[in-house]
Amino acid sequence: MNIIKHIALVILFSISVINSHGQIKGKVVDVFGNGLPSSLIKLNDSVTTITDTNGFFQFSNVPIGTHQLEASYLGYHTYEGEIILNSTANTEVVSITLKENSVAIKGVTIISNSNEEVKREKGYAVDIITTKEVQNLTSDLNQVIKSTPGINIRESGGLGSGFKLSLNGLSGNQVRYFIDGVPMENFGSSLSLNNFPVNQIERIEVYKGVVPISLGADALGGAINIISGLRNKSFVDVSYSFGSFNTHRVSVTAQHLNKKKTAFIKVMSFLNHSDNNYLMRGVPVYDLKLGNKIENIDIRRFNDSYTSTMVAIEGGILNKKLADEWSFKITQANNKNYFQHPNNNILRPFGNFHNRNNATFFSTAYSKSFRKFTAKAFISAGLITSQVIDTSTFKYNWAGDYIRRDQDDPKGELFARRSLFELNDQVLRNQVQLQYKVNRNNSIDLSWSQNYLKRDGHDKVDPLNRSFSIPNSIGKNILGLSYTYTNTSENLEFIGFIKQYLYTGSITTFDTDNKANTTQPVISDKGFGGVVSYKPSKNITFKGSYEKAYRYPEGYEILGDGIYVNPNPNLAPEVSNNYNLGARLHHQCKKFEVNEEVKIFYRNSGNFIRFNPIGPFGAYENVTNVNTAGIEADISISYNNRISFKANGTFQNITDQTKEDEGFVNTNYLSRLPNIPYLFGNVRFGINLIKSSNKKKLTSYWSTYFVKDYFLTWENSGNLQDKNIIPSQLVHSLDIEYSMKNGKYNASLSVSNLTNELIYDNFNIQNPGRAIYTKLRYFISKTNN
Amino acid sequence: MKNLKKITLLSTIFIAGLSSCKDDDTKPSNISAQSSAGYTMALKTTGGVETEYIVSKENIMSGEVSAAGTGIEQTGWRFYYPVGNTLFASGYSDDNQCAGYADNGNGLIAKKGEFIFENSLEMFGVSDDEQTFLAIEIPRNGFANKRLHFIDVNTINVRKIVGTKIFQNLTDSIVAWPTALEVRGDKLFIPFQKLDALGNFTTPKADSAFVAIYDYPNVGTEPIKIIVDGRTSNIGVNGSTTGLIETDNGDLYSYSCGTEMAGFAPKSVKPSGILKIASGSTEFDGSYFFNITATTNGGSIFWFDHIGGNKAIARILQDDNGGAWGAFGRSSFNQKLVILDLAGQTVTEVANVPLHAKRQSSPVLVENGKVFVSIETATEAYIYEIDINSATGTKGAQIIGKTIKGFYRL
Repeated sequence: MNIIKHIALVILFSISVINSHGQIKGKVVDVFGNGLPSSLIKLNDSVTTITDTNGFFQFSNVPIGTHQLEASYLGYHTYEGEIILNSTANTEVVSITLKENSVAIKGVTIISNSNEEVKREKGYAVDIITTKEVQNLTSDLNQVIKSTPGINIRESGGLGSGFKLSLNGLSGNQVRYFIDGVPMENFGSSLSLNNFPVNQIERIEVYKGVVPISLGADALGGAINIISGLRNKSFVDVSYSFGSFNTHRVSVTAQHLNKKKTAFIKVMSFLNHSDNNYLMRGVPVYDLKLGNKIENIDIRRFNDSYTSTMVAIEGGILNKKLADEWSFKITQANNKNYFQHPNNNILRPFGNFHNRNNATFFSTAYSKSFRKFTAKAFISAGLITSQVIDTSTFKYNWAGDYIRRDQDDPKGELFARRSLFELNDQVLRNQVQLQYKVNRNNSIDLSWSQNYLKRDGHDKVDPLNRSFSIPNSIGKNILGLSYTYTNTSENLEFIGFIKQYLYTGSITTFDTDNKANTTQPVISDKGFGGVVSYKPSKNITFKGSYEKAYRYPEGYEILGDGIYVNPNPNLAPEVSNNYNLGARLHHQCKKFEVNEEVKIFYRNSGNFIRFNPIGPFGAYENVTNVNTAGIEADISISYNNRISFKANGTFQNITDQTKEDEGFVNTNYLSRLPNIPYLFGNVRFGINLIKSSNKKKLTSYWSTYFVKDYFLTWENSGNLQDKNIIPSQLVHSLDIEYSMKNGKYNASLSVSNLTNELIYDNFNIQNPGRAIYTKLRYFISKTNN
Repeated sequence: MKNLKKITLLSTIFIAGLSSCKDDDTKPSNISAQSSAGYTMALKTTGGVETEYIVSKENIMSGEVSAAGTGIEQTGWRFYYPVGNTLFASGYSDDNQCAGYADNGNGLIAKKGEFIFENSLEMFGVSDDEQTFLAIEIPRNGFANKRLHFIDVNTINVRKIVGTKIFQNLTDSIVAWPTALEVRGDKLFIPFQKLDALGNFTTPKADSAFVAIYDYPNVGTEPIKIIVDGRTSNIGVNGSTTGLIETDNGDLYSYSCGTEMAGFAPKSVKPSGILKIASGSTEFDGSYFFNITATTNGGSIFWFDHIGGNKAIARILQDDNGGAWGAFGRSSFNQKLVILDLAGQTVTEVANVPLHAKRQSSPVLVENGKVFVSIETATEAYIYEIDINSATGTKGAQIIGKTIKGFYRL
């Protein structure tokens, strides 16, 4: 039992000295002498490399003297040691044995069973989703994230459709998104998660309720940070997938690193298209003139195509005196999104209504370590233009029939007046982070983030629409301070942090006399939190975390839309006390490997912002208080790297804690919140059918996703027979993947919604039935030695 | 070995999961589980989305009226309007569907039919023979047609739609906002407010009363005439369907409020009051003006409805200190319930009913000399039965929720 308890990390040094500089070479192996690929090697906390497929690494041009060397590998104890490179002895052999150590990943849940190199994480309630296992599959990021415990994503259609992600019960703008640490808030719909092909993303970090200060945003319920990849290799990754609903997805990513690893250039690009013309079953047809119901029919969607493209070019210097990394990036993305119907109503089919979005970003990122300090900074500036185009004079029904409206009828497909509304957003993000490693046990981090948005809008068609005709702006500043303690045996870690928020805005609305009123709200709050992880034995890790978190009001919530939404200068931020407690178990028994994790989460949230109508007007108010108590569990079992089985489940009980509603006793006090899934889970079974000496691989996965039915509104009200319900989902999908030449050539076939179920994520809004996709992928990488 | 067992168990569960759990397709039935006996009510609950339910109960004078385990769930905020024994529930904002509910012959409430519309239907009326339900789309801004729908009460089908501006003035940028659809004989009377065309709901011409008169049932695209009276302000209040009512003898009475709390901006300088269009006439009766401001010592009339004979039940705003649209919210509880003798021009306070806040769009239910109202104070909501003759209220069932939007018999 448990034979493989130790991993030997053998580093063979061959040091050659030329003048005052030498070379450090080595190899990282496990107890069987197998090289460990993609281990992270750090020299003096500044220069990094990763081992190649055989476990070799190399640092050249290293000055004579004493150096700190660190080697880490997911699931193993991190090695830290001093290497003396002197001018006389230019060859030295050092071998180090490290214990296998799951504390090294402290609370990290590895969703895939991969050997992917993962950045060492602290004891946050974080799920690291490595994408390695699914890189050859047709999934997009949403589908990958959806398989994580505690997360539910509700989509309102096919590719490019709107979605709402819920993370341990908190959802929508209560969860913040980041790409490589940069907040994606207001980035526009062409850069939302579902646009990214999975093979462009190295991993996804999901912070549940407690967010480190390095991710600077007002994240009430948590944060999702997508990591686009490492610098340490040159590679080309090209993929094309196609399939049902005329779906095509092209992804081209390439990085070139110069020989000395002092400069890189990287290109990331994608093109997505789908007609999304999936079959709608039993949709009502109304006659176009009078609105009377004729019949229910089955028909394919006819105005739901989606196209998005992105190109990002990035380049910079690495491992220089000036900077460990200093990079510049320009990103250009756009999309065109036709809508078949509004997201909440199928009774109004469209034949032309669409949106366009265009985003251009420029950013620069800097990092430098010197002695015990590490500094990081970025600046990101962007222009996002979005258009909502409701200019058609035609009116459609579900049969695809249409009539032209009378000359003097100003009605658009959605709005009361035809409209071409354009919003121009200017965003500026910047962050500075400083870390000071006092010693091996203690370190201090400081972070300042700023997030500024200026928005103006105009309607090119409807002169009566005055929303944002005077620019509005909102700024959020977050100052964070955190302290980390790790004991010497590295089985106990503590992090404490405080965050100071400062919210400022300048928002102009028109009153009923058409007079412009400008208000400048200032709100500030203090948040704080802590994280503990403890590993009493080698197989078990306990962890706990807490944060008092905030979400600041969006511009329209605090100051209205200038027409029907009145300003509420007294609006307070949403606030939540987020608690997590978890335990992770790891077993290894001969060729079986078992990981189990159980987490309990509790959210005590308040001041939820709700629109309160007053006559034809209304205002956003802080009304609702909510408690979330939940448990999530997952288990993964793998046998000999041939067969894998994973299952997870989440139960969350979200209850209304609002005792009073406008002076009345709230009849739903302590009731479960409606229209939110409360029981869901995933099962995934994978088998390697052929595996010949790592060169060829045929793998098949069966995945099943389940969501228990739930009510649209309060469960205790109404006759059961007459209640609106979002029915249970049990959806199966199958993926078969074939890969040749050690992952260079890959092909996969995916069938989603295998049994062609009629599925709903939202009340009455049908999601696609069975779909078949194929993906071809070429991938080649080279680690510079 | 333990692990192997675990795997076997999980695999079994997994396979079981695949083969079971096929939900029966429960076909949406038009017949609800809700009894049509007793009083049918539109109940708005508390909490989050404030879901509305069509509930029914035989005894509403004691106990509670709630939606716990009972009621036909509605989507979104709705207007409720009864025509005979059919109740129409019409969606608002992005919910563009209207359904008709009635008894299915077996004592249960059934959805008789439905139709969709373009802009929200915001004003309602009924033909004299109660065979036609009238509903009009009122676009919020611009000079678009208001689209008057003629709906067959038996089939819930729209028979025709007539587009009319009612009134507009392009130079002054003014449009009409109808505040009642009142059919009397061969005429349709549409009182209206004059609003800015920008959709701000301002009332730049608040100081006169206006009624557009059309032929009926052959409603034209233009009114035959518009009658004007300068003694009081624009007729009616946003969302209230009874700006103009007909008494038993065919006289029409309109109410004018003119206050800031009722949505007037600027508020009217004219007194709040009641005008009359006598039976058979299509002109304001110059000899009749029921000055509510004077009679109630500075109050103004926020709502009224006909309750038989020459009588109306009404709510009087005691003051106008609640701010813009204040009478629509739950911050000022300054409405007094009264009974008006329209002919005699008297105001009788209803005894035993507290000051309250309430906006009402449904017409009232009158039975055996009694009328039912939902009375909401700062902390409680109760049904009151009002005895018309004695002008006395009796407190009935407690409302578990925010309000009852109307009482009906299906």
